[in-house]
Amino acid sequence: MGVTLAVRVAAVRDLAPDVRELVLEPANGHPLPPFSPGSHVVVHVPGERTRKNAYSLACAPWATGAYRIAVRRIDAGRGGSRGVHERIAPGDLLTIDPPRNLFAPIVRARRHVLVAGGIGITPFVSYAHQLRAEDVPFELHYAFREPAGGPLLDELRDLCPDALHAYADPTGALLLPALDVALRDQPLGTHLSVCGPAPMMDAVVGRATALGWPPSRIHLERFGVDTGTMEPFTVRLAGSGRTLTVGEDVTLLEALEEDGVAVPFLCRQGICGECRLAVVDGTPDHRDLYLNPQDRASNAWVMPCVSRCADAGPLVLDLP
Amino acid sequence: MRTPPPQPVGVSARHTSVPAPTALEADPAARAHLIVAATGNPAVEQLVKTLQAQAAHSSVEVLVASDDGEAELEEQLRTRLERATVGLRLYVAGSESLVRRAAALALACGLERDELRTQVTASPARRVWCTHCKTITPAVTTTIARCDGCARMLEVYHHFSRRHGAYMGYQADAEMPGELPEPEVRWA
Repeated sequence: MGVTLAVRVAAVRDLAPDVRELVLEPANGHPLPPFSPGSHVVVHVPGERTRKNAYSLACAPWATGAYRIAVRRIDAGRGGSRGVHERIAPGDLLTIDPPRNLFAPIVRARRHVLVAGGIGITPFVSYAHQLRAEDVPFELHYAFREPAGGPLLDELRDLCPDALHAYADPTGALLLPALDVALRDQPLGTHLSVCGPAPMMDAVVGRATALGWPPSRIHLERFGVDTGTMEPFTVRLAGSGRTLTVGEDVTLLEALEEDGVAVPFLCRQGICGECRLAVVDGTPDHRDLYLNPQDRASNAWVMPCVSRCADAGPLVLDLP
Repeated sequence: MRTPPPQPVGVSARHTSVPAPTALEADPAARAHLIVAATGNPAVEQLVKTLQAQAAHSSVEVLVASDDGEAELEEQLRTRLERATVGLRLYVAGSESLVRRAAALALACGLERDELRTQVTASPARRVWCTHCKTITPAVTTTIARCDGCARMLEVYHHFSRRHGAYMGYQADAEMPGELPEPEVRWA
């Protein structure tokens, strides 16, 4: 935390009407760090307000000359992905956080079944490079809406033609029947990894579970959580008694950071648990995917990257 | 004769590698169930009844075990696991030794921990792995036992390896040769 990388946007390319690819090169002459497959970087997206969004690195894990990300534009979001599409041009300097990984492939797996929906393909690009290099068997099921092919499809066809199963599947009718077959016949030691829109992921997990796949074999990377409306509220830091206001276009985490309070974070999407804070008083409005039901009900914890206060506050946090 | 060391209390139940007692619990979500046990084992009879009631759509197969035929059983189990597909659950009931050997084999064949259920229903005698010569001495019932491989007197330590299916043993009189604690019968 606190360490960032300076990169220059070397190229910008639209892979689809709503998907933009950025190639990022080091801005200061030093190679970028290599990373483990499945890693993401947090991009500080310029705008009226800087948005910090996490994007999977869609390139080989040893690509230290340049990182590649592919960003799907989400109009209903808070502007991070819109900022990538509208405010970033070749030659621009950007700040990113170094690669982090919440979705590494399981090392002990003898075989991998990888399932991607739409932009969920991005973490599997680095998987495909690594697994091919290590000669570990895998199959990659990639479902996308566009009849002509989803983002990065051509590259995957070149990289792993035998492993790739591509589905032009706008209604979602093709993927699940195909997985029904694929998931019945995997040798012991196979692990399943899934990334894509939430309904698709839930459907795949449901199907795998119904076919006897235990939780230890199912690995997920969820791309964010729907944050809902954002009303302003006040916060008090229990230690100093200091108060601050969280505005309607700011997350609790951002407001704390802007006020100089350093909170550890990783995904900034309500998934990983890193930013958990203890609540002394007040009622959190939980919008995360991390807390278990007991912790949620106790209201003793809050995930500030996505959660807010159930009323105008003050939400009193156990911070100095 | 020096007094035996006090019972180790430093490792909490949450962190110890020593397996806690577990029971055979049916997992109706599975597509296939493989049971390894001696005939007439009541825990298995109950399990089979539960599976018939709750998991009628899945297959149930039983590999009959005898405590003196452990090596042969291991071969049968290995063959069966090598052709298994994801969706299998393995249930093993029998002596401590049979259960741990089967679990170690399952681990080597790629089975995950939540695909395995075990229950020790017969002799608690332990397999002990010698730190010095790597031999596993089977059926140890006492806290100090002679290694089958190198004849050292081993203290049976409270550390268990899932990979070996055995408890760690180290030379009990390494520091003062000949001075051994009184062995206690603990796993008979």
